[in-house]
Amino acid sequence: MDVKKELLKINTFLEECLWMDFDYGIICDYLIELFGCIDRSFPEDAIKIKFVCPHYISTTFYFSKADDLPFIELVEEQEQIAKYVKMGLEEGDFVFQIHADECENPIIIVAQSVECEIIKHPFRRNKDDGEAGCLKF
Amino acid sequence: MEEEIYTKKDVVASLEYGERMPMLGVVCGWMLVILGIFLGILPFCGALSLEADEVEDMMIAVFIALPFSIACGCYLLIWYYRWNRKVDLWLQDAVHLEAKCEEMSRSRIGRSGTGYKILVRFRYDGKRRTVYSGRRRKGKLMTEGGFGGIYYYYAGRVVDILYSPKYDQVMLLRLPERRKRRKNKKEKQKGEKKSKKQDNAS
Repeated sequence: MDVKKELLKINTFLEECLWMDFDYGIICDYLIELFGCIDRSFPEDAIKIKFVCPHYISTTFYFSKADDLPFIELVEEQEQIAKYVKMGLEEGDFVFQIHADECENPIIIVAQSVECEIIKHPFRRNKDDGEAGCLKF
Repeated sequence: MEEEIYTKKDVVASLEYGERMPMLGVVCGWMLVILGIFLGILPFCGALSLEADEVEDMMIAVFIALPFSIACGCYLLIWYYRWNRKVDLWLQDAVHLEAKCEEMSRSRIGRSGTGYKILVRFRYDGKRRTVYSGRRRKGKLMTEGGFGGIYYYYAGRVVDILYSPKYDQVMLLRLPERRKRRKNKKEKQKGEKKSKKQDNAS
């Protein structure tokens, strides 16, 4: 399933990052663009997530990725869907929940599809470099 | 549990003033200043035994070398003593915290070196703080400069820091692997001293 593959790609990428700040680029009736970067003051984005044909959103405008939980998940249980989404779903809708830091309730987005573009990978040193033996100071 | 007391020897770098200067730099600084003073005195001593033309040549050479050595020496010493003074001040109310550190950008330093600019994120008093490496300017969010080779080892990992809430300054502590090496070295030295004493006594 493409959506699950995309979610896996997003979560795998974000697991590598110590943290990530998110804000929205576009919120309209056919697209939601969510941008992730190391810091909001920093002009370069690291990841762009697109939600295609969104129907519902419940969110804060700025948030950070939660530390312990996977960033984005698919809500598939009917009870949970009814708890979060106070409207009927259409055929082909997916309910995405995003775990944000300092937010009691997850961010909920209902959309037809999700796409992800990784713009910049976080800096990671080579395994050979990081050991004590070759530290210069 | 005993609370650990940190001294400036434990601090490797500060985010605003960069890396601590090694002792070699301080020695070089003093040597340059002494050389400058020596060069200042030299023409007066030389004038007694040299001819007029030679004194003139020497004066030209000395007046080129003298400002250079004094300026370089003073620069190194000011950097060193200012860093120490600032860190001493910040250590008065410093709190030990765990922080996440990420690379922000990089730039070339010299011919072959790469400098890394980092940002450190941590929680203090329930609030999240993000601090960038480099000099702060009034009214500007982004800091100036702040590229250092040492930040390479800190980027992309969770590190121990000392945070001074009064001055809003972050100091980077030695990395755990380095601390272990230092501890082992100290213990080894102590052991050697003890065995020497025992040998002397016997």
